[in-house]
Amino acid sequence: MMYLVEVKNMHILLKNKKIIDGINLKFLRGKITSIIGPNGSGKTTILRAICRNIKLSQGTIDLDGKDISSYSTKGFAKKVAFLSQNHECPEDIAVRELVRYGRYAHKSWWRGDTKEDDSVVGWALEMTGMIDFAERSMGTLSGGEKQRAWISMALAQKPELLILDEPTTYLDICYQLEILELIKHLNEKEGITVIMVLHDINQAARFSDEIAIIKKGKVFASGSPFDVINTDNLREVFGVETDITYDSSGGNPVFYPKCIACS
Amino acid sequence: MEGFHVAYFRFFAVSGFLISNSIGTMEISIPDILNAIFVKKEGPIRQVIWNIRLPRTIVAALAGANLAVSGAILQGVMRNPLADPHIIGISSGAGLAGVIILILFPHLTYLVPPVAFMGAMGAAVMIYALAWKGGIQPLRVILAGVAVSSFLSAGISGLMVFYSDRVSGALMFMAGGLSARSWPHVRMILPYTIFGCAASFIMAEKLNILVLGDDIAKGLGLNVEMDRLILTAIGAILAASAVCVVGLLGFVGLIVPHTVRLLTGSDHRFLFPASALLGAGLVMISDTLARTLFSPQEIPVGIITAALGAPFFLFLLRRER
Repeated sequence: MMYLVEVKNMHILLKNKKIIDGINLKFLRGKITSIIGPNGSGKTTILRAICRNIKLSQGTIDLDGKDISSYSTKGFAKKVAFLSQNHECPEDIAVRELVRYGRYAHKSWWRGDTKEDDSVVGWALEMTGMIDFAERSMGTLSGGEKQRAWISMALAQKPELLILDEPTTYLDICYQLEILELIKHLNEKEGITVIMVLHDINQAARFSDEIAIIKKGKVFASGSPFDVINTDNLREVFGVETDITYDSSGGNPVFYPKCIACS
Repeated sequence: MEGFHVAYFRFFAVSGFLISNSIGTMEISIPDILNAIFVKKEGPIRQVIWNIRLPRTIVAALAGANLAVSGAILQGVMRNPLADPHIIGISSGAGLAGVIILILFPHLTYLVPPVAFMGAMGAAVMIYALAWKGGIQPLRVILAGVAVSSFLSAGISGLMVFYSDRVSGALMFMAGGLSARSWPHVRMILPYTIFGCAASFIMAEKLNILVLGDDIAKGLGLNVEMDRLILTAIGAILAASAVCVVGLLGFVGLIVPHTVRLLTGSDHRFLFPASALLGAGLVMISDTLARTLFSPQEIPVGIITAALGAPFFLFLLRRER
C-alpha cells in the first residue's frame, strides 16, 4: 500500500463549532508530510484525530488499511508515536527513564525490562545523539536536548509513524535545524513515516516530501513543496504578498514575505 | 540513591514504632518491648504493650501509611501538588458518609467502612466532574476540591446540629484521634492497607506515565481513563479506611509525599513505599507526643501532625527554591 494513513471525509465539531470541515488527505508511506496553515485553521486537530485523541463527528481514518478505532490501545502505540506541542515531565527524571516509558506498549505489567527493551532504549538514545545524556535529569537539559529526549522516547515505541506537533517551537534556530535534520535522518535511515505540523513555511518546504495547506478546516492545497508553495497560495491562505526563490542546494522553494496582502 | 533514602525511611518508621511503644505513663525499655511482644506473654508490661500501646501504634502506623500513599496517588492522578485527601474533600466524603450511618442508622455501624469508601469515591468523582473541561487542569482540581470539601463539611456540621442528641458516637469519629484505638480497629484497617499498598505499588509505573499528560500517556499505550479510575479508587479506599479508624486526620497526605518527593525524586516506584514508611513513622511519633506532651490530658493527634508537618514542609520548600 502506497499510503500509510488515509483520512476520508473527516468532520470534527467541538462545542458545536466546525473545526474540521470535510477533509480528505492521504499520507505517503515512508515520506515526510508537513501540515501548514494559519493559527486556528485546524492543523493540530488533524494530528490529534489521527492519534485518536479526538473523536470524529463524521468520516474515517485508516492506518495501514484498517480503521484506527479497530486497534487496541497498545497495538496502536506500537505503530504510532505522538509528541504533542506542550509536554512536561518531572524535572528529576533521568533521560533513560523517560525513554524507557516508550517501551510501555511492548511490555507486560508483571515483567520488568527485557534485553530487547534495553537494546531498543539504547538504540533510541543513540539515534538522537542523547546517549551521553542518558543519566542526566530532564531538568538540567536545554530546550533542544529536551526535545531530542522526547523524540527518543517516541522512537523507543518502534513506531512506523511518527506524529509531531510543532517540534521546533520555542527552540533557537540552530536547535530547530538540529531537530528537523534528526527527523529527516530518522525518515531516511529507519524508514519512519513522519506527519508533522510546522509553523515555519520555509522549513516545511525544505524538509518535507509533501505539504498539506489547511485553511479554515479544509485542505486548501496538497502536493510537493514545489507544487503548493507559490505566491497565489500564500496570499490566499496567509494573507501576505511574497517573493519566491529557490534554494541553492535542493531547489526547494523559499519565500520572503514582503507585506500584508490587500484584500 | 533512591534505595539509600528508602533505608532512611525504614529506619524512621522502626524508630517511630519503638518510641511509640516505649514512652508513656509507664516507661518501657526497648528489650522489654520486644520481650513483651514475642516472649513473655504475661505480667504488667505485657498488659500495657499488648492491650494498649501495640494495637494503638499499629493503627497509627497503618492510618499514616494509608493517608500518605493516598496523597501520593491523588497528587499524581490529579496532577496537582496540593491534592491531599483532606484538602480536596475525599476525607470529608468518607466522613459525611460515615456520620450519616452513625447518626441516622446507628444499628448499621458495621457498614461504616464500605459506605465511607463510597462517600470518598463519590467525592473524588464529584471533584473530577466539576474540574473536567475537555481535560483536567490542576488549578480547577484544587478549586473544585475546596468547594466540594466545604460543601460536604457543611453536611457533616448540619447533621450534627440537627441530631445533637446522637452525636456522641459521631464525635469520636470526627475528632481525628487515636485514643482508645485497639485490636478491632487494627482488624478494620489492615486489609485495606495491604490491598491498597500492594495495588498502588503495582500501579506505580502506570502513574509515572500518567503524569506525563493524557495525550502522551495515551500515545504510549496507556489506557488513560481506566487506569486513572483505578488509581483514584485505590486512593479513595486508602483515605476512606484511614478516616473510618482515626477520623479526619489532616496534613499527612499532603506533607509526607512532598517530603519524600523532595528527598528521593518523583518516581512513584520509590515514592509509594517511602511515603508509606514516612507516613507511618510520622503518625506514630505524633500520636506519642499527643498522648504524652500534656499528660494526663490527651490532645488530638491532628494538631501534632499539623504543628510538626507544616514548618518542616515550609523548610523543605524554601531549601529547594
